[in-house]
Amino acid sequence: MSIQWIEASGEGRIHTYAVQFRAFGGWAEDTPFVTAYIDLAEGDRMATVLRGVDASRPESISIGAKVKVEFEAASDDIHIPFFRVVEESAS
Amino acid sequence: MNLSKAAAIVGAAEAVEIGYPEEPRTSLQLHIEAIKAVSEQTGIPISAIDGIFSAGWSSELAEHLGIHPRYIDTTSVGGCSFEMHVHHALLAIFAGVIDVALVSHGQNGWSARRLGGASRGGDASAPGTQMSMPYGFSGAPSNYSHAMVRHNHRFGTTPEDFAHVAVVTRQWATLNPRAVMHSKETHEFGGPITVDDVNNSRMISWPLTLLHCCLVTDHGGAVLIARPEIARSLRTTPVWIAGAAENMSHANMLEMEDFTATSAFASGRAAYKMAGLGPDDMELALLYDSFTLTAAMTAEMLGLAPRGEGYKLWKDGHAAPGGRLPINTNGGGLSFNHSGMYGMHLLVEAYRQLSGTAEDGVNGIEGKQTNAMTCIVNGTGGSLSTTGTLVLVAD
Repeated sequence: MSIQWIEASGEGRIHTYAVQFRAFGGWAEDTPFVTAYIDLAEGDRMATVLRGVDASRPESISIGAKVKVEFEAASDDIHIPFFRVVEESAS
Repeated sequence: MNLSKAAAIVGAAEAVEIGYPEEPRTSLQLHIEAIKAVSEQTGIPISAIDGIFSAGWSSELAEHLGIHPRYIDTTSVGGCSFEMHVHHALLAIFAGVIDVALVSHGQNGWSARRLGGASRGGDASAPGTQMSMPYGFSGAPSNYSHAMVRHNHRFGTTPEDFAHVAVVTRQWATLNPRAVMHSKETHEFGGPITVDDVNNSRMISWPLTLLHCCLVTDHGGAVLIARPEIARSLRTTPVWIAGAAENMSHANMLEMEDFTATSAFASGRAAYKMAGLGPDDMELALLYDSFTLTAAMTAEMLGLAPRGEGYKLWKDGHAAPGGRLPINTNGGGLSFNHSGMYGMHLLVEAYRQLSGTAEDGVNGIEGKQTNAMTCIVNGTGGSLSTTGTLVLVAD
């Protein structure tokens, strides 16, 4: 079995999501926020915090909605991938 | 001799004070109190224990008890570990390696907060630490909520449907004087609750409100398991291990293929097969209820209800006192006790129900004892990750 790096498209769909009302560390200040599991176009699954969604209206978010990766700088060296909904309706 | 019924649970007991003890307890204390109680109950001396099973504590316990066991098992894969211990004990007794197995649990889920000590920081190299924690996932509720949303999406269920699990389980708690949520005397929020109470309680991880989630308490419990010759010679009533099996689907939720299914499907099927019994033969079910969702989904996996319809067992009253399939007769992790790893609580209640000792004024008041002769027990550990299933049969 050979393991290799591939460049992912950064696209995926929401598999499921939830809204966190309590969290620890740095996230505690950001509650409520929307976490999600994303099915990547390449087939793997990632956890994330959704960007550009309204945590006070979770029913406005759709399973199956299309998302796209966005990298946010956590430090000079570390960039963390988040996902933003790019197409609201599940198709 | 067959593996099925090659051993019996011959006693089950708990630590003296569980729930929210006045004075903080250590986990070891909770273990030892329960072990002492089950030894006294069965008349089996500590020195006769030759196999020891616990979620990580076995060497400390054997040392403290002053025994040199021939079989040492520390399987610790979450709250279902204790059902797996029973499985392993059955195998060890069947193989002739041991005669008497001790399965023990002690966990000061409540007192630990007051005693302080080591923090529970994650292992930086663990997949969950790297892939989930950076996104603010914090503990079981933050993950299980995602499974609820997926279940709602796939089967058209609602959080209100699952609220019935909490309401009915609380009914059982009102029959158990040891339950934290037994009444207003045991807890300011104790006593009966309604679906509206569940819906309107504090939001923890949408769509899970507080009353969809289990308690965090202290609990210690122990059971003894013995080969048939010994089981028949004791003053207690044996409860036979007719089927036992375990399975797992993942460790981290990231690797959970189907958020609406657990490995209880596989462990359940294997346990039924060993017992020569099926879901329709079960007269009682004790299903780990870390969350309302956990119990309802497990009922589906074990064939007690069709896929997507597990919640109906509670909503339609079947799981309630007097119903056709009583479920979580101790008041569950939701309303009785939940120390963090709930599997032992299930074993203790299963023993009490099937040995006819569920209603002694301490462990139950009128209406708690069922007529069940068969019971399915299912522990779920991790993030819907691991399962242990037992089919137990009354003598």
